[in-house]
Amino acid sequence: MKQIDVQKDILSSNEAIAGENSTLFSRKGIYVLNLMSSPGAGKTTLLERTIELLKDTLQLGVIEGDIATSYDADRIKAHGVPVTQINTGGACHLDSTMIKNALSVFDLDLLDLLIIENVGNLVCPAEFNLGEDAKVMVLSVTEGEDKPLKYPLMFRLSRALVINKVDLLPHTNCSLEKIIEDATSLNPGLSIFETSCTQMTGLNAWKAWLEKEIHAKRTRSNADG
Amino acid sequence: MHELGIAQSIMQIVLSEAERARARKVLNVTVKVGELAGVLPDSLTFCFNLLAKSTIAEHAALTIEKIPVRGYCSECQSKFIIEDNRYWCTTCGNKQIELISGRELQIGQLEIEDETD
Repeated sequence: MKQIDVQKDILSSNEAIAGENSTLFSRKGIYVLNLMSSPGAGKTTLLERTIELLKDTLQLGVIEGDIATSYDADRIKAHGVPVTQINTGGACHLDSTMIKNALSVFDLDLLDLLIIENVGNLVCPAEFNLGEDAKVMVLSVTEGEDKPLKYPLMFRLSRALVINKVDLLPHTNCSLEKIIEDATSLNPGLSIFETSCTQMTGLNAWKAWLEKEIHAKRTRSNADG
Repeated sequence: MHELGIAQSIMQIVLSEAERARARKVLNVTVKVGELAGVLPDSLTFCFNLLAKSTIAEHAALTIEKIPVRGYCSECQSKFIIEDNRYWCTTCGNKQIELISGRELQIGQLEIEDETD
C-alpha cells in the first residue's frame, strides 16, 4: 500500500476558468454581476427593472441560467438587450465553463455590464465562482426572516442584498429588521437595498450603487491599460 | 444538493493522480469538507460510490474530514471557532473578521495499491 499526498482543491478547475473569465472581463472593462436567489424571489423582475433604468446610458448583456426552459431569456429579449440562455439540464448552479462558452454571442468590446442570473437556489451557486465582480443576492420578504442564518455562505459572500417585495410586508409575519440584523452579522460590509419591483420603490438606490460599481471597475481597467 | 458535481470533480482528480502513480487500485480517499461548504457527507459518499463503479476506485472508501468554521480578528489577533453563525470575535467583539477555515473542499490523501503490492 502507498499513500499519495494530493492536497488539491476539488473545485480548482472551476476556479481556474473563473480566473480566465475574470481576466477577460477586466481587459474589456465589463462589470459582471452574479445574481442569486431562491426560485421566485424576483430575480428576473429586478433584472427587467434594472435594464429599464440603465439601458439608455449603458450597454447591457444578460446570461440567463435555468435548469430548463427559455422563459426568462424571452422576457429579457423583449427589452431589446442581448441575452443568452443556459439550460443546465438538472444541475443546480452555473459554473465558470458554462459562462465561458456562453460569451460568444456577445460583442464584448461593446458591453459595460453583464448580468448573470444564476439558477434559483440558495446553496450551490455560492460555491462556484464564475469570474464575476460581485455576487448579489435577492431575498423576498415572503421567504421569511430565517433565511440569512439558514444559508450563511451566500449571505457571507454577497456584496449586496436586495430585499424584494417589501410592499407585501403587511401581509406577512416577516421582520425586515431581523433580516437586516442577521445578514449584517454574517457580513458587516453588505450593501442592503429594500425594493418592490411591482411598486417601483427603492430602485434608485440600487441603480446608484450599480453605477458606482461599474464606474469604479472602468477606472481600474483603464488604469491597468 | 451539488454533491454529484463535487463527486465528479473528486473522481477526476483521484483517477488522474492514481494513474500517475501507476495504481492498480484505490483503497481510500480522504477529503476535507468545511462546515460552510453545504455538503452532506452521506450524499457525497453515495455519489462517489456511484461514479467509482467500473473504475480502479470501485471499492475505495471515502473518508470525510469535517473542518470547523474559524475566524481571525485583525484587531486583537485572536483565532476562534465560529458556531451558531456568531460571526464576530469571541475576544473583543469585532465584526470585521476574516474567515480562515470552513470553506474547504479539498482532497487530502489517496491510499493506493501499485505494482509492488
